[in-house]
Amino acid sequence: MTKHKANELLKQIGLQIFLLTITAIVLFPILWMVSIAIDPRNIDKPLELVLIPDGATLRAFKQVLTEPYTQLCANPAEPETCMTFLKLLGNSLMVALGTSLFSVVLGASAAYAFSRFKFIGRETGLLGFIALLMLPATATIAPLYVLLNQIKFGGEPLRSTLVGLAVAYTSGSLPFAIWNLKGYFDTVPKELEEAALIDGATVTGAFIRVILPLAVPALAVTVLLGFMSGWTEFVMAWLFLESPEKFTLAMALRSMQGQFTTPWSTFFALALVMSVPPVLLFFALQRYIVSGLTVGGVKG
Amino acid sequence: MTKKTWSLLGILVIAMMLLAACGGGDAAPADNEPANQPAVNEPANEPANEPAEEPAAEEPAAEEPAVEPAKIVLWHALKDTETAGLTTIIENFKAANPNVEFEVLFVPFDDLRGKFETAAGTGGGPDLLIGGDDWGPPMYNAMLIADVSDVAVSDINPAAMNVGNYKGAQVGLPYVLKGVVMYRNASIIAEPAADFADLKAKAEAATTGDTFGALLEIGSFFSFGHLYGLGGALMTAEGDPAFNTAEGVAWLEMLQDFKALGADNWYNDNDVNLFKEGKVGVVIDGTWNLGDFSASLGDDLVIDPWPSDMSGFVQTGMIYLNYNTTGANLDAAKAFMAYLLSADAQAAFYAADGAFIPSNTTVEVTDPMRQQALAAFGGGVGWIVLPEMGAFWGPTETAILSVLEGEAEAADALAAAEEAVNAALVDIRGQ
Repeated sequence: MTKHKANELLKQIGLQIFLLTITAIVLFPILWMVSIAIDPRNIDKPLELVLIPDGATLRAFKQVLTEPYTQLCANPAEPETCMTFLKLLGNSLMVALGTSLFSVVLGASAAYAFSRFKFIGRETGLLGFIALLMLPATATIAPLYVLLNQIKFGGEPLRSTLVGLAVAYTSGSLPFAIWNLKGYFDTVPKELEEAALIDGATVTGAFIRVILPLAVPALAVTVLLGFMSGWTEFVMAWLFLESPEKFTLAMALRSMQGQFTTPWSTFFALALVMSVPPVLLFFALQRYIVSGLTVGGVKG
Repeated sequence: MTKKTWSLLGILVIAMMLLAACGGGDAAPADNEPANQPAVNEPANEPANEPAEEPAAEEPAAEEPAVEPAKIVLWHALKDTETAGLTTIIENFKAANPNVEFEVLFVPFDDLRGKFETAAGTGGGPDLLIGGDDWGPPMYNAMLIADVSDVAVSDINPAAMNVGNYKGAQVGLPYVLKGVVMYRNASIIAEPAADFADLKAKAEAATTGDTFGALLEIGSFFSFGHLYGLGGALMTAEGDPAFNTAEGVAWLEMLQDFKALGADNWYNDNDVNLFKEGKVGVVIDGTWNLGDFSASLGDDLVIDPWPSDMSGFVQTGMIYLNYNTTGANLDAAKAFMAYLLSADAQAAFYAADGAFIPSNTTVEVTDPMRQQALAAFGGGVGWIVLPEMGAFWGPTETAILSVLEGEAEAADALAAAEEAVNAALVDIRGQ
């Protein structure tokens, strides 16, 4: 073996070790979660590094999927009023998909306006969205609470509804969506819209029929990020909602963390189950995601 | 129109929106406010810590039905077994008061206070809140909870009742006693220790292989009590630091010995987990883990009286009345508060939850473990609920860690902590 080949081999081995180390670091927390979820002892940390502990069981998974959540009941005296996994899943999907929908519809409309039209306050507005992006999420909670509390439907404040929650989440995801989509729209040649206008399309028609289909990668990213923010958030949800029948999976997960004790096996079992829908959505949108994340970055 | 005109118009629209948003709305109904004033400001007719004319145990408030229909909203962070007790109590109360409905909401403990403060601060929130005993003073200062001195309760542990007393008002009512105690596995260490030197000797003798004689929690919450056990104090009655003394130095040196006895034990559950596995002789932990420990260790579990130079905080669980509650709900909520502290209700709680220690002294505690916990509370220290406490956590924990890591001498660490506490107190007191 020549010296050059030996150096190449060593370089390759070093690279592989580095990558395996990174992989282990990324996978370790997930393996830890799996290990504890199937551990019958309900302990808060593995006492030894074994993936499958003695007496491993799927009982915790069965519990989170089939048994009622006894802390989340409209009336604790009536177990049938307690939330189930399916009800929580339905609420979570409603909030997450609602957030995605609002983000895409509002984000695309606003981004198109910022990209194509000249109007007073355009630059200031864009900078304002940057300022919103820089704010920590907790800074907006109190104003959102007060604002959504003022809007009432049938005596019920919008704040304590799933729609209100999705609106609140959208306010957080919208600034990024607008910037990302605007960056993408900037890359689409204006000549395409002009051709549509010459052919008799309206501005709105050109936007919907010409621009949006070309912007699918950026829209996919907006959908995914909107879904993720609605799916995983619990702090605002616990602050805003007051009826157990509106609670989400993320709130149920949070509710398992007690002041002094936490049932860690069921906690991690639910966390793992909760990760399935976002993973499925990611795979569904995967072919758009990578290009969608990068196309808005430069104006071509 | 010119560009300037458009800009001016834009500014006016934004200003209008801001004014509309700041102008308030119907979140706090106007008719609520006058009704609330007397509840907070009027002097108590019947001091809550004095026996009522007709003892609650004989004629509980639950048996005095309110005339108007009422719906009590109650938020809590109780665990499953406690919720079962609360549910029984609510059903009993509803049976005696058919005009009263309940809406009970569990909120995770870490979210409960913020949720209540936000809701009550905007004129809403539940009528009743079950929460930590140190929440009362700051929430009372913020006018989020009302004075409940006029709620007639009797036979409540006087020290517990005093925890809810702030600025001459009864800001909360203690429905349960809990606290930090010393647990012992009698199969590892057979006899209780007389003092810390004795405990240390017994623990060292019992430490073999993977068994620890003692794993003693070092974190402030669990270790402040020992400062009082040594004759010192964390703060004065006014909330000023009082720990920079010879007793304070002895306290930090004691914590150094804690560390030497076993594995690093700074706010983690190693001690709890290993104790449950029967691999630790003595741990310091809360009575909230009593049920788990009993299930794991059975007859080997003992709660010792505090050794002569050690101690732990005694806390309470409190029920608070929302400042915004008015009308029929106010009467019903107060009646329920009184009932929750009655002998009947406390007995129901006691039966449902293996760690429940009643605040009502007339409830007979027959469970030996809870009898031992009550005896240990006798050597405990009342939990500090002053808002000033917030200034102490960070500096004192820094002092503990710097001494344990060998970065500072005990006296120097305490002096630095005192300086930091005084600086933080300026902010807390708004000076």
